[in-house]
Amino acid sequence: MSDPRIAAAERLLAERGLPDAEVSAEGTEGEIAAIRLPGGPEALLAERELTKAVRALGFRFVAVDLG
Amino acid sequence: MHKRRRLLEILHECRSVVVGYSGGVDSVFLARIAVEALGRENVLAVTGKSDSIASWMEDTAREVAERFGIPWMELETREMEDPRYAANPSNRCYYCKSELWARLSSVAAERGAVMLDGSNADDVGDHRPGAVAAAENGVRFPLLEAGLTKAEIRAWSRELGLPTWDQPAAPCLASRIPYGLAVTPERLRQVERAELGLRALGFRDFRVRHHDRVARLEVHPAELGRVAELRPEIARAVRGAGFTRVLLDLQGYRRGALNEGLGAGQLVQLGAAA
Repeated sequence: MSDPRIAAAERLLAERGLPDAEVSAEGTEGEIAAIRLPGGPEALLAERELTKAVRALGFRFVAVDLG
Repeated sequence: MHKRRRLLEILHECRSVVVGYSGGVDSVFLARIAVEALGRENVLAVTGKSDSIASWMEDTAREVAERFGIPWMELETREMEDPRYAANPSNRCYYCKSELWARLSSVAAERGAVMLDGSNADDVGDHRPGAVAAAENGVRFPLLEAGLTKAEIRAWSRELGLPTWDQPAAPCLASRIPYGLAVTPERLRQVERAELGLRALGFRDFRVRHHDRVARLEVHPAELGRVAELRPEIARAVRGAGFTRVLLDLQGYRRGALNEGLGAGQLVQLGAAA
């Protein structure tokens, strides 16, 4: 069964100008929204509001892949 | 100035002390002041040695003790053999500190000494189950009793020439593993190896949080810019420690992050000095 949080997070990121972002739930309880950005993590480093919005979808942590 | 006087009064009340000495800002300061107040013959700083103690903390503990003439010893602790500790509940520190203070009790008893813990006034209200274990073993908290804050301890440490005066907070390696995920020697080694890798790249204030296969890095906001510059090196260092995925937490390093979300019933808060 797919995690609805993931689709919601990807939609949110697309709306904020990151349509290629891929989200997966990592951690033993799926507590981390792990975001992979094709261009690297820099686009997200200063995005506090976006981070808050993704957390509000039900994640404890929001993190970006470093490759 | 009255806080400094009060601290010295407390130490003189104790006459002979055994200090739980981690190599962190507070315990180094406490041991150094104790030597100044009571003389070397009445002070012993003891560092608990186990898989959960980072090698760089052990090195700091030893080097500062040698440099400042603080009588020092290491004592093996076996909290890892306690399944209640290894299960990593939210009060894990209670079992760890119970083991530490129980072992230090016999050392202190031989010397007729009072055991001291370096908790300070800023720790009041924090989640500190280890403090319950300390209190159960008759440990005193002189820095807390004197009302000294972290900033005041750092300032006084700097006056004393202690190299730890601006050292970032340094809890044990088990603090990197989320509650509920077992603390194992292998996981602790992975964290240590990954953090050594980041230290070698010049990072000072960060944590590598262990989420089983995944490492979630918390880096102080002031150091985030360097993450972008050193991304391949960071990923290589952390993967080299055995993690399959390396993530950067977008909230950055914040003290006690793994305590976020603990319910009121799970929090064990250090109370103010009476």
